[in-house]
Amino acid sequence: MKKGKNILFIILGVIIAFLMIDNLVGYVFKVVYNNTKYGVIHRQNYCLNESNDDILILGSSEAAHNYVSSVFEDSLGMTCFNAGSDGMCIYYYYTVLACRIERAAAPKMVILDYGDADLLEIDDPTAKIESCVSRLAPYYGDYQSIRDLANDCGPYEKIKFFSHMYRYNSQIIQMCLGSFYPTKENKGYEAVFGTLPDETQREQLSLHEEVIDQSKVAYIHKLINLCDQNGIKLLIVRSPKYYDNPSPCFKVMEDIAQEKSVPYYDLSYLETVMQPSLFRDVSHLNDEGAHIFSRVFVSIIKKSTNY
Amino acid sequence: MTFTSFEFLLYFPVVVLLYNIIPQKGRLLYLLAVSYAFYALLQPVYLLLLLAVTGLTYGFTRWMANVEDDDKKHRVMIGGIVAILLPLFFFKYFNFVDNAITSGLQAMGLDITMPTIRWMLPLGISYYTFMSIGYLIDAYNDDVEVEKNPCVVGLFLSFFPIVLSGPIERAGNMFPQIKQLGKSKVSDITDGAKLMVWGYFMKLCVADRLALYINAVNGNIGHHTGTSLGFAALLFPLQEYGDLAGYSLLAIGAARCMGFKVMDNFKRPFFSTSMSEFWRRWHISLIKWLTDYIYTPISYALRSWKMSGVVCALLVTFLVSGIWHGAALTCIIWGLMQGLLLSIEAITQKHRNTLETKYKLKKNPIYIVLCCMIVYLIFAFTEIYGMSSSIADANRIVAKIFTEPGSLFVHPTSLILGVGSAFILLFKDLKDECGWKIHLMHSDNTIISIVSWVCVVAYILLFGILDGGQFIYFQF
Repeated sequence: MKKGKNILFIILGVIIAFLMIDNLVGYVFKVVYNNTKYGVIHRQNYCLNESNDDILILGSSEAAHNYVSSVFEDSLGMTCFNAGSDGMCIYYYYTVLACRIERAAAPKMVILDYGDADLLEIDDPTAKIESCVSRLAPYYGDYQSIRDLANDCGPYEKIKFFSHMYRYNSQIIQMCLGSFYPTKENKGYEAVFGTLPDETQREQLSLHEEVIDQSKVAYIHKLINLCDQNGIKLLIVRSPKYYDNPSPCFKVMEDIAQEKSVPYYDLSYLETVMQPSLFRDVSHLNDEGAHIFSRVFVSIIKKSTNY
Repeated sequence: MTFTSFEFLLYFPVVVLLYNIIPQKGRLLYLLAVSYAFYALLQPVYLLLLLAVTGLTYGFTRWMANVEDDDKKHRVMIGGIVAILLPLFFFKYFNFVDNAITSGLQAMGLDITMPTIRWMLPLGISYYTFMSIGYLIDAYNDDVEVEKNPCVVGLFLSFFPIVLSGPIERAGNMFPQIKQLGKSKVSDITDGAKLMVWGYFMKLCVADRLALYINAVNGNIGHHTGTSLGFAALLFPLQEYGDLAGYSLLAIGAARCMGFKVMDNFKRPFFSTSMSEFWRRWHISLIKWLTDYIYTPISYALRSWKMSGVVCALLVTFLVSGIWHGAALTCIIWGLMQGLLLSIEAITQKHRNTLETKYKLKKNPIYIVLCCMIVYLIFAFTEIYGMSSSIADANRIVAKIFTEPGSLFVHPTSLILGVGSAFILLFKDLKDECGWKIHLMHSDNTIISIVSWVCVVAYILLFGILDGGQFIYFQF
């Protein structure tokens, strides 16, 4: 009987100790996270919690590095924030937009830069829902949209997110860098520098067996519907690449855009920027290329949408 | 559902609870059902293969028990070993042999392509095959009594904590425990839980964290400098240790929660002062198996060859080890390298002993540290071949390390958290190796012990790789 009581006290002690440490550490991390001044966490905080910018650019690294927010602001007379983020995919883009709408801060225009990772089943952590949930985990308690995304991730996410520490898993280094390592901020646009070698030829990617990820397609439809319901002007874009991708998945997106009457721009072979000197690598424009592309794209927007 | 999945954390306490509630008579069938269900959840079809190997093992051991004639008994044993090895050969090595034959034919100018078979490797097949063969040989040698109850043999081979990744247990250790199946003591559950928590730390905070960096570098050899490749090569043994030893601890801890004492599999290998000592501390269950069933019989048979016999036995043993690790030329090269290193140590043993005694080196801390570092570097170098997908890739990595220095690829999160966690792991190992009396997690004070273990759990939650959401985004 005494042994049983001791065991019970130990179990209780473990649970209480865990809850105390979990809540304390979770609180400290939340404060530090929300007050991060630089880098990807700061940009994400701004986009989700503060931004009222008229134009929201969504996408992964191509969006982050190819679209210069200030060019859009100067030319269109609207505020613009580039919420493009390395390694993210459609689940992230949709949820970021949904969070802004939840905060009653819907943008007037959304530019969605997409790639094959937003449509295909890819065995790459950057193209999975788990990485998007992991990125947005610190805001789990703040937005229903993020809780919905977590629930879509799996049936046990609700239990995992009970722990406050779990929400800040693997975030500490980025938090420290974002608090103490200043980086230049330009409304979310992340300039990259360097060029491809002059002799670089534009090559065609070899086509592998592809499977359309129906879950991702469902999120594309959700994003389009969300824009429709909130009176947001949506533009879907393929930004310039220095390679040819013969994947039939792009036709899928084009068909969806046509079906939903969403303006679709395939600028993957925009001649104005098809020079090695304007690309940092085959997927991303450098700063000079991004400025040129942004100006060209803005003029396309002006012509086609009366902005 | 693997040990590191969240579902396992939810269901395992229920499994342990039910095990202790069920009457003793029903526990064998219960554990057997749980073990088969665990395996079936991972690979339903290959459960049939596990059952087939179990059937073969049971059948051949029972057959041997009923044979009086020694020669016939020997033939039955050999037949049993061949029969049990056949599935392993077909699933793991068929395509490798196939490709080797095709390459050989093409080298002779014959353009003949052998048919290949594309099928998934059954999980744990290397482990339960070795356990089966070990039981067969032990039964032949009368080291263990032939078991009449097929459920005992079934549980021995399918016991869910150890079926996927070992340790490679022995019938002599497991059969008595399986037949007893007593309730778990409180100390079993607490000790088991502690082992599992530390296993999760090793796997999630050290191995999986370092793997992000190492895979990002080794997956893009052409784009990384020799410095980065060399650094990744230096980190790889730590990743492997965290992975294998961490998973072993999870298995040992899970078994302990149900009162089973499973053999240790790693014993602070990076504090070895020689390669032979290293191989007594690294993957102990595999090395013991190879020593008992391959090295000892061969070295005994070749005892008249003296040192040459020892060298032959070592080379064959580690060749088998290499083949066991993988159906690839790189694994064979790796195995032969280990055999060669141990052979060199065996040949020079007398001279080294003389020097160590003459200069009292064995008690010199600088000498000990130097030896540990050399052993680590040698192992890290051989692992370049072990981990590479081809000989050409391995040679390329080695060439780049020595000829193409440059800037180090830095990914702050992986490096700081991974290397930091590795240091914690090594410090704990150093504490245990030196017998320092720093007791936090194993403190006699209950409060200190509880808080320490909760801090380890907190560390895992904050810094471990808990899901598929972590990655290094490397742009070219």
